[in-house]
Amino acid sequence: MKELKFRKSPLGIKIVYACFFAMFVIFAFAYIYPMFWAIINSLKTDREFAANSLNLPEQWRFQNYVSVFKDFKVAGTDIRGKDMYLYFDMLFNSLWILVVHVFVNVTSSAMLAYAIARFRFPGKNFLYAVIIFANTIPIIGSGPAKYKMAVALNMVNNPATIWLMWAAGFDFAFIVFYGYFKGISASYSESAKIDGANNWTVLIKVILPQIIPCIVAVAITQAISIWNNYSISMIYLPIYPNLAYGMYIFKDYYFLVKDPMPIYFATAVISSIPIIVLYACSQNLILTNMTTGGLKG
Amino acid sequence: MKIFQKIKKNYSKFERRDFLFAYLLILFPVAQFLVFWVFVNASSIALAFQDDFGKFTWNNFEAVKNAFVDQDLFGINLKDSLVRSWILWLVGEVICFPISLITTYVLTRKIVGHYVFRICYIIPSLMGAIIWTLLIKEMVRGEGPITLLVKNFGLDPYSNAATEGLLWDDATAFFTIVSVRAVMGLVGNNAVLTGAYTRVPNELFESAELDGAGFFTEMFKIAIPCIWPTICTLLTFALCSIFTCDYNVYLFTNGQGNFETSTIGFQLFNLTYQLREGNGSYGYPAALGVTLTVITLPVVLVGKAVLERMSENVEV
Repeated sequence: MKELKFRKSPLGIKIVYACFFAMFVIFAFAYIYPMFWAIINSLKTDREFAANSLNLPEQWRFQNYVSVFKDFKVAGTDIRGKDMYLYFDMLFNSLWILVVHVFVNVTSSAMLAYAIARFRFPGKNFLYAVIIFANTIPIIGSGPAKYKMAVALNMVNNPATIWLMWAAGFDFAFIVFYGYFKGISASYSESAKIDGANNWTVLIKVILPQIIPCIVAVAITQAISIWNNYSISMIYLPIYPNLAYGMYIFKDYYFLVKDPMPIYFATAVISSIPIIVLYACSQNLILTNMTTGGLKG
Repeated sequence: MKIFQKIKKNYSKFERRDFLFAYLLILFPVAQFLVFWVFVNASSIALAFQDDFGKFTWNNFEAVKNAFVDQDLFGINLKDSLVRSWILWLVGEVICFPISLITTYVLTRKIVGHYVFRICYIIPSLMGAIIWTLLIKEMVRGEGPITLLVKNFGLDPYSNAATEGLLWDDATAFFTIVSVRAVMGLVGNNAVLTGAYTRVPNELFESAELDGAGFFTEMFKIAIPCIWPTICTLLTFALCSIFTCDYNVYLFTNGQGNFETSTIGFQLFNLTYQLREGNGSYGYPAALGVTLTVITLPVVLVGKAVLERMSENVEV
C-alpha cells in the first residue's frame, strides 16, 4: 500500500500523524512492558522479586535460565511410570503436538479447498454451503459431547488417535486456501493437462509450488496457536503436558523449587522466544497471504 | 446404481476422472467432519434430552432455567455470566474493532517505525494466552506494577484489591479483565486486516491524491470500503461469539473463587473440565449449549444478512 508522506503533508495532517505515532508508542509500551518485566524478574531471586518487582536485579542471575531445564517441573504419575515432567519432556510434547496438529489440519483443509475451488463434481455446491454454514453458525457447548466421544473411542491420552480430532478441514484455514486457489489462473493446469499431465501431476508439480507461501503462512499461524494451546493437554492429553499446560499447573509445584517465580518467568521468556523469532522472520509472508473475504470494486 | 448410470451418461471419461480425483481429496475431510462435527453436535443435542441413564428428560433444561433465575450446581448465576460475556464482546467488537481498523490502516501506510510497532503488537498473541495472562495476573497482584499504578489513582489502600491484587477483589476483578481485553483488542485482527489493506491497489490512492483527497478521505472512502468484504467476514465470525465471549477468564480466576468474573464461555469450558475430573453430568452442559445455540442462531443470521446488505450498498 502507498506510503504516507509525512514531509509533504499539510500541517493538520502532520499533527494527525504525530498523534498516531504517540498513540502507537504508548500501545507498544503497553504490549512490550510485560515481557520486559518478566525478563528483569527472571534474573532475580524469589526474595528480591517479592520485595520489589519493579527494580532491576541487584545481581543478574542468568543461571536461572539454566535452572529452568531442571527446576521447571510438574508432577504426574502416568501409565509410562513418569513421576515428574521436566522442561524437555514438555518441550517434546509441545513439538509433537504442534507438528502433528499443523500437518493434519493444513493437509486436510488444503485438499478440501483445492477440490472445491478447482473441480466440478456433483454435490460441490452443497458441500461449499455446508462448510460456510459450519464456519458461520455457532454451535455452542459441544465440548462435553466431544469429550464423551473421545473417551468412547479411547482417544484420551492416546497420541496414536487424537490427531483425528485435529484434522478438521472445514475450518478457517479452508476459507484462506479456497480464496488462494481461486486466485490461481486455471490456464497453468489446463496447459499441463494438454501436455499429458494427470490430476496428481498437476497438483504436485503445478499447483503445490504456487501455494507454498499460503501453506507456510497458514502453517505458521496454526503453529503459533497450537504452541500456546493449553486446553488440548488439559482435557485430552493430561499425561502428555505441553509447555503451555505446564506453565498453567507449575504454580501447584512451587514448593519443589528454590526460586519458583524467577524460574517461572524465565520459562515464560524461553518458551516465547521460538515463536517470536518465527513470526519476526515470516511477518511479511503471513501478512500478505493471510486474507479472507476479498476486495470490493 | 441409477446415479452412477446418470453420471456415466451425462459426463465424459475425463470429467468422471476429475470427479473421482475430487472425491478422493474430499473423502478424509468429509469423513472427519461427519464424525467430529455432525455426529458430535447431534449427540450433544441428544445428551441435552437425556438423564445419566440415557432416558428422556426435560430436567437438563430445567437446570439451565434455574441457573439463569437462581444458580447452577456450581453456584454460578448464568444471567450475570451472560451480561459479563456481552460486556466483553461489546468492548472487543464494538469499541476496539473500529479502532483496530484505523490503527492497522495507519500501520499499513508505513508510518515511521511501523515494522517495530507491528512486532510489539503481535508479541502478546505470540506469547500466547496462557503466558500473557499469567504475566498480567502477576502484574495485578498487590505489589505488582499495575496495582501500584492504580493505587496512585486513588485505590483504597486497605481494600483487597490493593493488598492481594486487583483480581482478588470482587469490586475490581471483572473491570481488570475488561481493561486487559480493551488494551488487547486495540490491535486485534491485525494480520487479516493488514493482508486485506495491502491488496488495495496503489492506483486508487494515486488517483485520489491527484483529485486532492486527504488522509481521512483515502481511509474512509477508499481503503475501508475496499476491504469491506473482509470486515464483513470478521464481523460475522465475531457475531458467533456474542454469547460465549470469554477473555481467558478461566486463566485469570483459575475457575475458582466466588465467580464474580464468570462468563458463559468460562462456564462451558469449566463444565467440560469438570467432566474430565469426574464431576457433573453431560446433560446439563449439553442443554446449556443447545439453549444458547437456539438463541444465537437467529442473531447471527440476521446480523449476517444485515452485513451482506451493507456490503452491497458500500461503494468504492
